[in-house]
Amino acid sequence: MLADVTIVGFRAFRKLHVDRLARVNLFVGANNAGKTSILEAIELLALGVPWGLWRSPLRRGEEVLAGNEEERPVGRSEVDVSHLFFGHKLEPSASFSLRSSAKPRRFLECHVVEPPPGITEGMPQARLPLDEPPGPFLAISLTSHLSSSATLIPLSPYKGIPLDVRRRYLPSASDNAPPVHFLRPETSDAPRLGVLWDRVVLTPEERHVVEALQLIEPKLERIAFLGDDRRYTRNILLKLSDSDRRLPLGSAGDGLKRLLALALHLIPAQGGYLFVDEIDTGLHFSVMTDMWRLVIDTATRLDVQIFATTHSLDCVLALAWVREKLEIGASDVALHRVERGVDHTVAYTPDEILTAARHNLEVR
Amino acid sequence: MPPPATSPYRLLVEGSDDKHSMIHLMKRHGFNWDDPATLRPFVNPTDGLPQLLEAIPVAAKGSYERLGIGVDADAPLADRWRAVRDRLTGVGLEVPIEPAPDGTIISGTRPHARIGIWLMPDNRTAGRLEDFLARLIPASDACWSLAQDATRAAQGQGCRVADHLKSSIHTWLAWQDTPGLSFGTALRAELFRHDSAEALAFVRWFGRLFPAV
Repeated sequence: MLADVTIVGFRAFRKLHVDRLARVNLFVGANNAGKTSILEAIELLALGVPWGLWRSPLRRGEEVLAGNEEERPVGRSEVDVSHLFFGHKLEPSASFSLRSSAKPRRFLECHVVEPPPGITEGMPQARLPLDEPPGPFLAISLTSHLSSSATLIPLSPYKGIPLDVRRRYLPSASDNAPPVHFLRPETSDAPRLGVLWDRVVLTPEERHVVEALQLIEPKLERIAFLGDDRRYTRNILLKLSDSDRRLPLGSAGDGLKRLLALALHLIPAQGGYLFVDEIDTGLHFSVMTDMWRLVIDTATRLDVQIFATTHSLDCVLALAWVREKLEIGASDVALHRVERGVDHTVAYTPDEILTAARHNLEVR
Repeated sequence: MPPPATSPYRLLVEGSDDKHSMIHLMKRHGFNWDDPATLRPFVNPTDGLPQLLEAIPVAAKGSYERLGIGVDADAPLADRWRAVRDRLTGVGLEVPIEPAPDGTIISGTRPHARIGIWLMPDNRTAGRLEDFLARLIPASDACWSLAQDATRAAQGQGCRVADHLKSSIHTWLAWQDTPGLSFGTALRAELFRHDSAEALAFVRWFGRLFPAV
């Protein structure tokens, strides 16, 4: 579990220090305060591997439109990592660093450098129009707690990271990266959930997933994912105790799908980290406490550290109430407020959240 | 329309008498409490000193531009000041060792944020809201000394007088055209004056802390 994080030069943060991290962390703050960026920074730090670099740009759809339309091979878009750097510029001397100084110590640093000859071999120079000189080749030098030497990741002349470069750094067991999962506000699509479901079906964890959904639908007995190999789709079906029909999950409301996505993402994050952007999405305030109970229980049982964001006051209050009811340790839950232009987050304990609720004080 | 709870200005006080006395004193000084176009503090009574002290650090860490704390100095003044000060230094704020006689104003946790502390009655002597109000009773008011004497006499006859000053003020309020007005309403009805030295200092402190933009 990370106890603190210092972010320097990453995305919109010149510098930001986050401390008093707990097992379950909820980030609040105004729009554009950088809540999602904090999650992305901690995700990259927790991973500590080169392929972590393009995870958030890929999710955000940050791409370089390399070359002109006709010359760009289909599916060969380049990931634009410039936005990871404060100021959005990929030029020598640009850098960012992520660091956790309390044990377990973690760090990850990226510097834009002019690479030694040879490293850019095989880069897609040929795709340039003949009359356009190739830009100077640059590379990103990445160092982290996971490797003793720097990794040089070459950038194309368009300053993007092409697919063939990304393929050099595919995830592998020898990375020693912990399990890290990121759940976006849009509920995950059925094929993605299907892959995660296949990992838990007929294991002891399957029961926990069903129990999670029973928080919203007590009549739920079973969940099934039906596949269609030709169309690569999965239909999620539910069996309720008072009906003999198979009920499509889609007919059951967003809350159920969100809880399913949460439960299915928590399990593979065992021993690692789960990031949930806008954790309250699709959830009615009446199930917010149940949602937190699921998250806190599972995170504790499976040793997962949670980082989530919300705009919802109900979501914040529910976290405090659950903490009080479950009688879990005060260090298991923390609320962090992010403010634009302030170089540290403000942390609240669950007791302080309850005090704020009692006196109608704003913590968001 | 009174200011909403979402106002970036917040004033924490112990009880609703404090709240209404402050609001009506400010109104007597021309502060437009009901103008939605003006930033005004949302005043919340915490229903007691322990609750007020508990709320201070949480509010101080909050996103308020201006936070006011109105607290009775009904213990040795230095003790009460230390209690408030400890809550604020605990969240990393710099607070002077002694309160400013004109009301203390310090920098808050956020850039440009300010936190003000007013110790009733005057930041100098031990006391509370009732001491502040007693000094707003017209000096020439014959009923006031009578009310104090009557309260003392009642106590001598075995009546329960738990708090002589409070009982005296309520006795005095009972002897008005409309008997038994609450403190705030009596301020509005101008039974109390508005211009004791303490009241003027309070109004200046309030104006410095909560600029009416």
